[in-house]
Amino acid sequence: MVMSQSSYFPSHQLEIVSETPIAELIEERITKPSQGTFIDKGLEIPDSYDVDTIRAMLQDPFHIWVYWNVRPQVFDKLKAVFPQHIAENFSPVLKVTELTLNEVSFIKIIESGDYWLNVLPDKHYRVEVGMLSSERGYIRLLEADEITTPRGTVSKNVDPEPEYKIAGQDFADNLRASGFAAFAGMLGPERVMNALPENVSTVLSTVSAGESLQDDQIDNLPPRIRALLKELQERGEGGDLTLLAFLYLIPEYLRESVAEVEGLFADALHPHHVAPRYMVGSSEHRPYPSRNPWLPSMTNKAIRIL
Amino acid sequence: MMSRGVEQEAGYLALILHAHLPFVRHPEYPEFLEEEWLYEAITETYIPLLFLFENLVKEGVKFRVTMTLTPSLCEMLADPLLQSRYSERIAKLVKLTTSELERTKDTPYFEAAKLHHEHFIAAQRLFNEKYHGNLIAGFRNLQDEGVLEIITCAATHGFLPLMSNDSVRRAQIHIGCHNYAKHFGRWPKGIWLPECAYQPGVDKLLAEAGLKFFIVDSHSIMFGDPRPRRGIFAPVLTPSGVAAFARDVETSEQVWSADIGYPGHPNYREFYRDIGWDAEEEYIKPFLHSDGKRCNLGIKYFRVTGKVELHEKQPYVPEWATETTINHANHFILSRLAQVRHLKEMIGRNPIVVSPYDAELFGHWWFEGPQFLNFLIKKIHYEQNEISLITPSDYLEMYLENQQQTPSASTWGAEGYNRVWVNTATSWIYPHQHMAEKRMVELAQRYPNATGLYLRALKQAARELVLAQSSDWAFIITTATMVPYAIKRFKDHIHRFTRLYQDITSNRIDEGWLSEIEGKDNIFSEIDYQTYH
Repeated sequence: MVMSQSSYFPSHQLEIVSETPIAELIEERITKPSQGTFIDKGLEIPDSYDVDTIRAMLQDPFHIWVYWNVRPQVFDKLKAVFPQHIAENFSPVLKVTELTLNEVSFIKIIESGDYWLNVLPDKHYRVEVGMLSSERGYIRLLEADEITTPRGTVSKNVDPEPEYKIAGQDFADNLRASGFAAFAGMLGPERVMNALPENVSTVLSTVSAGESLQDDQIDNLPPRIRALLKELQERGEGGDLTLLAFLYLIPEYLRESVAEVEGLFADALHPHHVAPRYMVGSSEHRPYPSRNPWLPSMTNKAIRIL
Repeated sequence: MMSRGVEQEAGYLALILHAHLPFVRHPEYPEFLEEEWLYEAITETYIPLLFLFENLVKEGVKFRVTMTLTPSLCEMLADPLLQSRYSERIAKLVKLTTSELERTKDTPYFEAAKLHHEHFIAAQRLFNEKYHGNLIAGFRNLQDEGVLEIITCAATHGFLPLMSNDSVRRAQIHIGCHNYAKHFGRWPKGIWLPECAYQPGVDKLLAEAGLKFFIVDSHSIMFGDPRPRRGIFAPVLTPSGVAAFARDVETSEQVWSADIGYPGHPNYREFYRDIGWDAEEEYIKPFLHSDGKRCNLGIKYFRVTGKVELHEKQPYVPEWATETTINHANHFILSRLAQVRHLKEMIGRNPIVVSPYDAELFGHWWFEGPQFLNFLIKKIHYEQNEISLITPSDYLEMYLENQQQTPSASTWGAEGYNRVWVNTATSWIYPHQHMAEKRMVELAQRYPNATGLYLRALKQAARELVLAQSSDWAFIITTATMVPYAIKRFKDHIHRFTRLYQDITSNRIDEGWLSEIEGKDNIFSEIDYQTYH
C-alpha cells in the first residue's frame, strides 16, 4: 500500500525491532527533534473520559491488552455500603477468568490504567474490574467482551464429511505444500496412533489419561503384551503394576509399529519455501516497554498480586 | 471468466493487487509532503498498470486480474484539488526530465534519463488528455471490459478486529460498499479485509453486505477448524457462507522477500538513489517543495548492483533490467506449473494459487514490476495451456461446493496477528477511538431523522470517525516512519469528532467551523450517518 522511502514499507516486509522496545525507539525520534524543527502534534484531545469503561483486545495468541476506567465515585459508593472497617479492606482488581478451566486470577489495579495479560492460545478469557476483599470476597463492577485466543497451530479436528476428511500423511503433505512444513512434524504421534490397531490405541489413550486398564482391554491386546499383563494379573499383581508393565512394554511395540508406517521417516525436503515467520512463534518473549510516552494516564501501574 | 476448461488445465493463478493509500488531502496548505504518497503512486504504479492492462487488451491477450482500489484511494483519485495538484506535479517532473536529457548527455545515465522522460510524458498525457484527471474511469473501463475484477475494502482501511463493536465494523463495510457503487456503478462481489485482519464473526457482517468472498493470510485457513482438506489452494466457506481465499506462501516470498525476491536483483533500478538527493542543490531546488528540503523525485539512475554501499551503485541499464524481468517471468511461470501439477494430484481438483500484493510494489518499490507483470501475463496467454489467470469470483463459479470452516483470527502483518496495530506504542489510540465509536452509535440513535445543519454535523462526525479509524496511523507509528504525521492525523480527527459530538448534543453547532472541516475532510460525500444506527 503506502509510499515513499521515508514513510512506508510493505507490511509483510516489516520487521519489528527486537532489540529496542518500540516505544523507546519512537520516543527517541519524536520527543527529541532537532532544534528549531516544528512538529505539528495535532489538535488537543481529552486526557480521559468521565465514563466507566473496560475493553480487552487481542494482540496475539499469548497476549491480551486491557484498559479500564472506573470513576472514583463508583468506588466511593460501593465502599459506602459497608461499615468503614470492612470497606477499607476492599481493593480495586482486575479479575481474569479462563473460562474453559474456570481458572481465576486477580490483579491489583488503580482506578484507571491498562495491562498486558500473558495468556495461552486457544482459550476463552473474561476480564472484569471489581473490588476484592479478603473478608467479603469479590464484587464485579465492569466486564469486557470475552476473548478467544487463536490456536496458533493446526486444528485437531478432522472434517466428518467424507469429501473433506484429511489426516495423517495426507494432511502432512498438505501442510508442506501450503508452506507449513514445520507443523507437519506435529502430526507424527497422531499418525502413529492412527497406524496402531484400535485395540492398542484405545489402551494407550486409557493409560495416557491415567486410568486403570480393564480386563477386556487386556484381552484384546497383542499376544506378547497380553501374556505378560495376564501373568501379572494372575499373580494378583494387577492395578498399578499392570499399568506400569504396559508402559514398559509399549515403547518396543511402538517401535515395531512405527517401522511399518510407510514414509514416516522418509521426510524428504519439499521444494516449497517455508515463510520464516511461522517458525518464530508469537511476541511472547519480546520485551515490552514499561511506559507509554503518549498517554501518561494510561501508564502501566498494575501490580500482580496473585 | 476465461478458463480454458477444467479438464485441460492443471490449475489457476489469482493475481490480486491491493491498491491503498490513507486519505491525505490538505487544502489548507499550498503543498503538503504526505500528499506526495498519492502523486508518486499515480506516476509510478497506477498509470503504469493502466498502460499495461490497456495494451494487453489492445493486443488481444486474455487475462483476469483482481484489484482493490480502496474507498479512501478512490476518493482521492476523484478529488478535483488533488487532481489539479498532481497535474502541476507531473508537469514539473516533465520539465525536470527535459532538463535532465541535456545534463546527462554523453554520460552513462542518459538512457535512464530518457526512460524517465518518456515515462513522465506518457503519464502526463494519459492523466490530462485521456482521463481528464480521473484515473478511476480507466480502471472502471477495464472492469467493464472483463479483464479486471475490482473488489472493495472497508471505508478507510479500518482494522476491524480492534474496533469496539459490530455497529462500527458494519459501518466501515457498508460505507466502503456504497462508495464502490458510487465509483464503479455496481455492487462489489469481494472485499479486501484491511490488513487481511479476520476474526470469527466478521464474515457475518460481510454476508449482511452481500459480499461473496474475502482474502486472508495462509495461516488463517491452515489453522482453521476443521482442518482444510485442500490447504490454501481452495477457498473455504465461513459459517456465514462467505468464501475465504488464502494467500499462497510460495508466490509471496518470490516477490516480496528482501533476500530471495525478484526485486533485489542487481540489474533492477535502485530505489534509494534518487536525484532529489543526488543532484546539485541549486539545480534541483526549483523542483523540491518550497521549504527546499531534499526528497525523492522518482528519477533514479542507478541499479541495485549488489550488496554494496549506496555510493558504489552502478549506472542503471534499462535493457539489462528488461532482460531480467523476462527471466523472472519465466521462472515464475515455471514454478507455478510445477506447483499446480503437484497440487492438482494432491487435492483432487484444480487448485487456485492466490497471490496478493500491495499494488504499489509494482512500479513504486519495484520499478520493473509492471514489466514483469506484462511478460508474465503474455507468457500465460501465449506459451502454455495448463494455467489460467482467474479471479476468486471465477473460481467460486467453477466450484460451487467448498469445505465449511471457521478460519483462525489472523492478519498479514508481522507475526500474523494484531501486534503491528496494538502494541505499547499504539495502544494509547484505542481508548479515544472506542469512545468516539460509542458516541457515534449514540448520535445515530438519538438523532434518527436529522435535517439541515444537524444532518451536516452528523455526517461530518461520521467522516471524522472513519478517518480516525484508518489502520494506517497505527501502522506508521509501529514502523517508526512518519510518526508525527500519523499522530497528528489521529488526534485531529478525534478532536473534530469530539467537538462535533459536544456541539450536536448541546445544541450549539458552529456553522462556520463545520464548513471549514467539511472542506478539509471532504471524504465520502454520500455518507449516511444512520449506518451506525
